[in-house]
Amino acid sequence: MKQHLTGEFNADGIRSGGTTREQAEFAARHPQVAELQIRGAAVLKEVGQAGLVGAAVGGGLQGAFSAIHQGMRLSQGETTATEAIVITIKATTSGAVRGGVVAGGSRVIAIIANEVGVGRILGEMGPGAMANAIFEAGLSTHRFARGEIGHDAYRQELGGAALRATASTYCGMAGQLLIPIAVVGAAVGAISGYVAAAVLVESGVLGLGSNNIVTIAEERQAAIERECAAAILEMRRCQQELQQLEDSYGEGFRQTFNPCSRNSGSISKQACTATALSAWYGSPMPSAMLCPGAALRSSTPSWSMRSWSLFSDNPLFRRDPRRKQLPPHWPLIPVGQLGGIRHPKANHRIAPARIGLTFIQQCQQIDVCHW
Amino acid sequence: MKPVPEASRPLRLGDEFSGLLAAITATDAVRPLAEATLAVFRDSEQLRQVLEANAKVDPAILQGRALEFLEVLKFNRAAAEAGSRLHASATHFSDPHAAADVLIRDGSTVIKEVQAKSYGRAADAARVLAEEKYRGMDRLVPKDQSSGVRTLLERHERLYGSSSPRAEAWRM
Repeated sequence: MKQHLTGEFNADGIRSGGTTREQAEFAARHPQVAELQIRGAAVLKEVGQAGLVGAAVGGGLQGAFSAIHQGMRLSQGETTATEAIVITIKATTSGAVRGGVVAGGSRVIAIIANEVGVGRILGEMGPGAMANAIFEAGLSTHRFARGEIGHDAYRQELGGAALRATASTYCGMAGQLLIPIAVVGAAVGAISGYVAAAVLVESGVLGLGSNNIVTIAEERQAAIERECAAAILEMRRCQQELQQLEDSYGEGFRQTFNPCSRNSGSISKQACTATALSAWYGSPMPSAMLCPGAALRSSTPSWSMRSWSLFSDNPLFRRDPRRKQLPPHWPLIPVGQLGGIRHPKANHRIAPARIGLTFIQQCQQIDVCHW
Repeated sequence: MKPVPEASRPLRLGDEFSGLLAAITATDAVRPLAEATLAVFRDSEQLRQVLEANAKVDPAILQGRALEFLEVLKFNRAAAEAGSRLHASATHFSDPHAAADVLIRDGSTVIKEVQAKSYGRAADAARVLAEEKYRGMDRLVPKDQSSGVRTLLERHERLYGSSSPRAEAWRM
């Protein structure tokens, strides 16, 4: 038994480290506390190690980038050596802090995701991308709170960070599928996704805010559609008005000429029109025809009133109230010259518009036919 | 409000990209630790379940079961950190009547059986672990008792040599 007696598990160089009776008794008395302690120690170890690696990588990268940039500026005489060194040290420190926080945060996210069962959804690169986006969002929030950026810029930065993180996550998963080499495929996919998303966001194709050209184009398209819809409605309204006008005119025409054809007996419409035109052009303008309702009133009050209403209600013949004086070439005949025959509504001067000439002729035609 | 200069945007994107690269590198670097954490979470849940299921048992007795599961947890964590295929598992769930308390496997092959005992007195642990049914197994005692048990065995061997009736069992 002596050779098999042990205070710890030991197999192929793997050693458990052993457990004291006190530790075992504590676990037996407080199982939940013991579980938390054990888990916490494991998490701290993983997160701490990740933070150290992330700090080293982030600091190294930022330091290298900054050194190159400052070296170029120094060679062009845009800065001094002291300033370049200070900026490089600051950038290295900043990169180390960021790298450490992001790397450690990514492990925290990964552990939580595994614990709640969504580890596979996030994939291998998802936690890192999320932690990076959260860090960026925190920086943006800090700038927004300090008033360095406005609401639109803040919203745009948050949206951009979220898009880059999402692209990194899912391109990382796609990369792992396409390149089945551990880490390499996921890393290539995540980096490609990040760069692609960054380019699209910066060019305005993706993202939120006023710089999104797609949003701008969509807004313009919506405005154009609204204007077109309004124009179509206006055209329909005008079409309906024209239709109503045409119907009204047609109805008036029928009401006016049907009696004419009835009363004229064998005289055709053409004959009526020809007679009316000859009377119109060949003799001084008969005053009666300018007020056909009044002229016809004495003989045929029924349809002469309809003719009058057609004449007076028709907007084509309506006098413009804003016009003080009518154009001089319009033949203006006072109603009072109608030989004492005056329409009760026609106590004003009637000016037939040129466009109403046909109507006047039709009135003349009626007169001729009737008389 | 101070406007953010446009020139700072590429620099900020560079910072963000560095952060992403740091996270990717760290993810790969701590992969064994991540596996170990997963193992710890899995085994600690088992530990809690066993201890809570026997919550009415005297902790002075239940600590033996705790020792068994704690050692399993620690071994699996160490194996994961080392990237080893070895894996320890308690027979409490799979085969409660097995002589061995813990099996250590390399893949699916059992390479070691372990019997764990934790008593208040080292002599009691030595006596029980010397039973014939544990022959060939590793005998696990609490780390702080192992030297006491070993001293006890050595003294017994000095006193009684190979003539003792239990000498054979204590040797194996």
